[in-house]
Amino acid sequence: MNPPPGTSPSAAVSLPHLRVLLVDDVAMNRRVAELFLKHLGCTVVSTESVSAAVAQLCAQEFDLVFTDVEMPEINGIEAIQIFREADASAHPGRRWRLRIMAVSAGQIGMDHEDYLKLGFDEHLGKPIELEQLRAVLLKWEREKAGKTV
Amino acid sequence: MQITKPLNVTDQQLAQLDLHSFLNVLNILMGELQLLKLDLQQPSALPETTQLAGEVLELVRAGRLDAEASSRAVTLQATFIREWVEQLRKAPDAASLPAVREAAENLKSILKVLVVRIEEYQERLRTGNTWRPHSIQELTGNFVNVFAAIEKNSKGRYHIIYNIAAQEATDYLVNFKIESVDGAFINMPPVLQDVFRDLIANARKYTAPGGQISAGLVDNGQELRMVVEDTGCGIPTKEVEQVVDFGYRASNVRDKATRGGGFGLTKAYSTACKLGGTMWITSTLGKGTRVALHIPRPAR
Repeated sequence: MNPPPGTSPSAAVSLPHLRVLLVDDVAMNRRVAELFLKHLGCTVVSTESVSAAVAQLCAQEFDLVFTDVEMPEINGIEAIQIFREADASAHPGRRWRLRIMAVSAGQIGMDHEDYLKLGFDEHLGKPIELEQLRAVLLKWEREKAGKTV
Repeated sequence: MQITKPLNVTDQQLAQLDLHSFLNVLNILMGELQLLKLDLQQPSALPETTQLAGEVLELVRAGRLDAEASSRAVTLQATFIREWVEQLRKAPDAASLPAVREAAENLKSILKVLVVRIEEYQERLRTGNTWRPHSIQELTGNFVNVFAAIEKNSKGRYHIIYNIAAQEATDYLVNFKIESVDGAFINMPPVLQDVFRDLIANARKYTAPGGQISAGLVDNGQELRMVVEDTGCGIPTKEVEQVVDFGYRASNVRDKATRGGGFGLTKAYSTACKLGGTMWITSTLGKGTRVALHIPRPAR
């Protein structure tokens, strides 16, 4: 459930230091998400397609894939398999499982639970709320620090 | 070839497309608003703008693209401009921060688009497919603005040029002309303006920078002809008829990172059918595509 739209961001608290791969085909959405993630202390690599994201996943290790699931080229179900396979193949020895977050505008008739059932670790609706994103990232940052798989 | 297949899209599906398009604009607007507050380091800045933006978003989420949504969008635009001026008066240094400037400019631009699009949408609801005169000068101005917005959205990756002598390697060359037997005005249903814009946007998406896009609209006294031609990637021959299906994207562009789920041609075909016209698509893979609509003028 999203907080009310336009909720004001509160002052920054301890920030997550996660390596994030951002995937969105709309430049203006990418801009907003990238700046949010950077504001929250993440290192961000932005890509505009699943194929470009896979290339990045093979080239370096990320903690999180932050992906729009309403891109024309592919749906969320296909994307999650592709991301998992690419990551497992490129980084077989990783100690903390790659987290994958779905971001959607609710256009394909799926709710939060549907995304979790598909295997996404989290789902956020658009417009993204900074505080909601911060809460999820902090949780994962703590898990990563404790190496909870 | 002339497209003759049965139409497979409902009015409800077409209405959903409109709604999704508005939601996308509003989601970006909400994000930019949060960014601006972050950059200002003032979470409580622009309170009325924030409140109104939330209200417009809720209206659109509820499927309301009505007069109230339109009125609130206009108020939202005016409120943002007022609050932004006040903000700059209180903290003039903010304007010197590039991130603040960019977010504020983006918000102005998004709000302008939102207001115009809702007005156009309502105009379409009011007049439906009714033919009425449009000023050619005004229409041309609208399309020049569309091209300018496309260019701006590229963040400098390409320019849109109207003079071949000025074209650089990554510029799009655009030929654009509207003419009518009625002189300064052209008669057409307002929905055709949307169709023309969508076809032009498609042509740009599927043509690499350096290519050419030609778009023309003419009323010759018997029929209205709309043609959009590009030097882009083309459509595989076997799929030319399928590309008008709801949500269909040709196999050679499915992995291309563009927004749009393959609805521009569906809408064009649906509109042509409703207006008793015909649609033609000619395409050569790797060389380009030509889409033509012929719409008979109604009996006077």
